[in-house]
Amino acid sequence: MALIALQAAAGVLAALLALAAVMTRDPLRQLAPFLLYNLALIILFITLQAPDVALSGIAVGLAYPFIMLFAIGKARDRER
Amino acid sequence: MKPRGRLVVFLAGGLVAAAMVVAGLLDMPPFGHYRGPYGNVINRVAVPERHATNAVVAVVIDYRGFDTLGEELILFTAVMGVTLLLRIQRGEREPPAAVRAEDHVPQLTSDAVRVGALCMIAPLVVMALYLVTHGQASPGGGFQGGAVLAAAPLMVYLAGRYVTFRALDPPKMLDLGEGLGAAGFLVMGLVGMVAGMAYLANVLPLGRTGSVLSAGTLPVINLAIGLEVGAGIVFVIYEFMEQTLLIRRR
Repeated sequence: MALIALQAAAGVLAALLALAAVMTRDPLRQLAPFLLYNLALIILFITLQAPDVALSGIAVGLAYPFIMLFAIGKARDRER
Repeated sequence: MKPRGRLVVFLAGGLVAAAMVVAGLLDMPPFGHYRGPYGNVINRVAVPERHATNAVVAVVIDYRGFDTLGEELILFTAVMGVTLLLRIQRGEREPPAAVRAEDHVPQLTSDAVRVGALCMIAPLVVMALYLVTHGQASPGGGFQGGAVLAAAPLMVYLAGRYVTFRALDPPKMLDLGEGLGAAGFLVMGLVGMVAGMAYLANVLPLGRTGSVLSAGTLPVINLAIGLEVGAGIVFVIYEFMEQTLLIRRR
């Protein structure tokens, strides 16, 4: 029962954070809701007994912010 | 197209998509009641046939190893594409070393971030090695382990300055890792052919179930994938860093 509650909570949280990530227009600010959304997904996958998928989520969460930050930095550099 | 026409097209498409989603949801098996036969077959045969307790890696690297080889080569190609796109182009220049050093003295990273990143480096390397070498026995494998491995040098960047990270001489190290990783997988496939069987056939001794050197070719290929993925990710981010931090418009 507790596991199902945890799964439901993680699922709802993931849906809400995904919405927040889509609604955030500024790419830099978008990183925060996106990474929280990623974390909620990882928790959901662990509670669904899919540790392999959860590990893939961790891999995305590690590489994505770096690439985004540098890409945003370069784009701002061009604007100046 | 006018906004109104766009809305009509969207509503028509949205309705069709929603109907399909609802129809699909209604026909789904109850939550947690998996109906596919292959999963059950793999769960039964992975340990006796391959001595691999992690059925996922047994499928990805052995039973469907050829698909994974293709995926790895896609990653290889993607990394090469990024490198090609982000090279120094006409109208851009890399400033001389003296200017560069001046450019990078002011660092606004807080001490908390620096200490945190420093403390992460060793655990990340250990976790990456664990994930790569135990892929056949527990959740993990080359792809996940490689990504975690890639995070370690990035922590060096967060903990220090860009110059420190650059002192690791990424291109030399990464060229080697990328090449060895891609070639390792391809060569392990050929080993199967040399033994007179199909490409990527699992011909190595299977060993004791659950140990590091078990499941035949699985740990070897995992190691190759780990190298390839780790080096690939760092290479892409390194190219972005060069573009952002060093290369300026003329």
